[in-house]
Amino acid sequence: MLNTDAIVKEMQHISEKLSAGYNTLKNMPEVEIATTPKELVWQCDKVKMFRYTRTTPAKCKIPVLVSFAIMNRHDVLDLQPDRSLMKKLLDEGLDIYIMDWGYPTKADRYLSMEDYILGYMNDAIDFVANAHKVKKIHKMGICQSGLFSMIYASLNPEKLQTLTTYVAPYDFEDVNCNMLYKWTKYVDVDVMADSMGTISADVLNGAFSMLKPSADIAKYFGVMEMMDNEDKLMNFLRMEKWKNDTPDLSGEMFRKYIKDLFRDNKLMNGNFELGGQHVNLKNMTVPFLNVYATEDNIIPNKSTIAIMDKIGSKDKQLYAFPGGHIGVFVGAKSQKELGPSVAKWVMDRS
Amino acid sequence: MATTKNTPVDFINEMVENQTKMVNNLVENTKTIAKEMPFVKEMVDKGQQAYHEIVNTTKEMMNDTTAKLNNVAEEAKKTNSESNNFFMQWLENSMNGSKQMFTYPMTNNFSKMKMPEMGSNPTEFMNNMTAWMTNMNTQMQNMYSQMQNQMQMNNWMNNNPMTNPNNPMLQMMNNINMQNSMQEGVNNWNKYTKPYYDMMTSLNGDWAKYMPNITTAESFKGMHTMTESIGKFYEMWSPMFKQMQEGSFNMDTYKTMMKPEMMKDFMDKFFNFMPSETKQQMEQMNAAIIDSMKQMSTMGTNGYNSFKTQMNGFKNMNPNMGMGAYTNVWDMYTQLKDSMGAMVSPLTKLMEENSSVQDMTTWSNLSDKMMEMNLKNTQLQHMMYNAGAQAMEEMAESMAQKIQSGESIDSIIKMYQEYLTKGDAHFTSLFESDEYSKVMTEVSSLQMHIKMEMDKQMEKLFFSKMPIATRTEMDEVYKNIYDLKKMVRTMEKMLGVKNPAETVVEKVEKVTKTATAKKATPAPAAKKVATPAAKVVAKKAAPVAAKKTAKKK
Repeated sequence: MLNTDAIVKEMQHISEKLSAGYNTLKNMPEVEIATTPKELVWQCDKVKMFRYTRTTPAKCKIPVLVSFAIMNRHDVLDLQPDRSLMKKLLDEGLDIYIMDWGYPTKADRYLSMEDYILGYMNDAIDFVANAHKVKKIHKMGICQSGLFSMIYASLNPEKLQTLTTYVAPYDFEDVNCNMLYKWTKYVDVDVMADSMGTISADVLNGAFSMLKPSADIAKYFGVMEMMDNEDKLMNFLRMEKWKNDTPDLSGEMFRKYIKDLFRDNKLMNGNFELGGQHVNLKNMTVPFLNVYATEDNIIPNKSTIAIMDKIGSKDKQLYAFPGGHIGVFVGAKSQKELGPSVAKWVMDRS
Repeated sequence: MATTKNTPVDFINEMVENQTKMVNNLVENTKTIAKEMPFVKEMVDKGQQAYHEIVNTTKEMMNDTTAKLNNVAEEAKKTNSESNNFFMQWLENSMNGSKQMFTYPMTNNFSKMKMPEMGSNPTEFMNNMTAWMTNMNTQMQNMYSQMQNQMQMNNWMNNNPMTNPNNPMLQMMNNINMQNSMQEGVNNWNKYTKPYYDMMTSLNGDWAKYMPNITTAESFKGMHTMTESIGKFYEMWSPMFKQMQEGSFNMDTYKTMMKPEMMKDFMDKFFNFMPSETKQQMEQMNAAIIDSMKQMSTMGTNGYNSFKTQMNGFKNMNPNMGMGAYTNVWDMYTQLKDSMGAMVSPLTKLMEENSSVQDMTTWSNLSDKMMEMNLKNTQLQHMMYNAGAQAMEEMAESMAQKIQSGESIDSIIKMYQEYLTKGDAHFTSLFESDEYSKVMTEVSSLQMHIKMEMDKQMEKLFFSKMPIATRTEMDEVYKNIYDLKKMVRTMEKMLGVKNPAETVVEKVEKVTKTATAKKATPAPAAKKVATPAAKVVAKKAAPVAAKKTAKKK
């Protein structure tokens, strides 16, 4: 039977919580993320590269260059001091550089995939190598940037000591494994790029939110209950700040990304070209660590794992991390297990 | 607040009492939130007073009612099939309305009417042109009148069996006091909470400015949206609470009492669909565009008639009037030149590039695309409504099973969360389907095509005459800049010239905060990153800074 009294009281409770929430949020301090100290060492157009500040000498002579997906900000890798993969890798003794792709505007609509991979990424790698007087550096790429790093490594294996990618999409053959993969088969990407110039962040966020339609409402149930816990509330707000800070994408880069990679799966099929060069995955002979999240609902596991049989590396390893697409960086296990394991793997190959 | 009696009247009294308490609670909370805005307090107080008066009147009315629920249920079952077909009817009405609005231009598109060709007989040509223009004008006027009629007929609320005054269920409900009382109770609740939520939404902008930053403002907005959604969910289910309390709730009750229009409203809020009022405004705007095209063609016709009059005047001119051969010839020539100038200008404008007809063709194609987009968007929404209704029905089955097994339901949030879980399963299954994917991408593509064409037309008609750079011009500039930058970088690499962009800039320091910090200590003012101009100056320091970096290692 229905307990109407309890239900009505619950509705009262909700409105009380909303009112309390207003007062609490009004008095919250500034929400800060990516607070680990770093310095700007390189910039080209809107793209920047930072070097994390070390207080002790690095245990590894060869520096590490990290790049995040272009469609999101890299700040999630350093969300808060006790949930910072970057800080953890620093504490483990690595010398870390990180790329900041910036906020493309309409003026950047013609930036192509070649510009990002063979231009900015290549120039950043050269800068780091020159600054440390080494021939090769360690490269880490997350999600879309993992795919870009793989393409780069296939063209320039001589510049990389190792390659580590996290939750990166490689194989787009099976359209039924993910609704985003399916949609890209039908979407008219040419009219998107031609009409919008830069692909709006709202369009991309809207597409991602449809992977789980209730998520944007359901999360507030928990938030309502944490109004009297400022630490928990701040943790939530930090994640929200990162999620809401989404850059637009260059239309030309997006056009090739969707057509050549998502739709035609050219990289896995062996006929992908970049800047007039054929990209042969067998040329990727660099030691490779492939991290994937077992409960990833954005990039299917099979899409990430499929690369292992295609590359030429003899030293290659899969790392199955229990968690979701973002949890791999911000979860507690990331600090305890993933960070130390990746650091050790990299240092063993320095 | 448990009652010892379990009669329908006791249940209603209990509900009314609880709702009154909830309203009072809402009032207090609103006052707390809106304490910076005195007029809100006054408005809320008046609303609360009005609500109490309504509640007291309703209570008196309910105490005099008799139970005739069996008759209500029987009559409701007859119209059950109509309510189940609600969404199908909505879809049909929307589709038909859109089609009828644009049927005329599609089947009798004026741009397909062939213009007369210039033959050897100019007079015959002009007569044919006049007839063609007049015909076009008449077609446009007829099309516009038909569209206006269809817009008035297309009000789907008139076709909605649930709101049609001829609906026997509504008639029966009006005759049965008990059901009417229940409905009054829910309506009264809606009367107060809707303005409350509307006020919260409309003043959201004002409240946001009291938030310290956009993240907290967006979070509060999200909390409010969630609260509103639960409120709508509560409204949908509250008519069925009595049966649920009595333990008689089943799928028949659900199908009888679940109001499809409330579910549609709930879904619209959930997915931020365009409200019906806004949709009507969009349709009126489309009609206004077509109307302006009609007016342009009328102006064109008038101009052409004027041109024809002048041509006829020229035809009737007698060049042999007056004395003085040379003066007469000069005068004649001047007159001829002036007449030709006045005569030829409208013809030149009409014939030179045929731009008016081109514009009309473009607008006609645009209206075709808009119609197609409306139809496909309606189809998309219909698919989503169906998925949402299926999820709600599954939830109702789950509720019925729990009630029949004697399980106590004491949380609206748990009900709502159960709906969200089932909804996710249905919606993701829909979104992954080929049918949805195709329609969704077609709608998206049409939207962008329309946007592109509209932008081009706006540039052509308005912006090109203003002293501002248009988007097309800026895109050209961006392309040139991009190509030049690429060329320069290639040359720099060939010449081995160091990229002036590669500099070492001042440190940007921030205070590292721990996770347990209660209040943020103000961070020391971070040194600003050098501006591009400063970077160029700073390039000389680059080799020194690079050495420093190497030393640190």
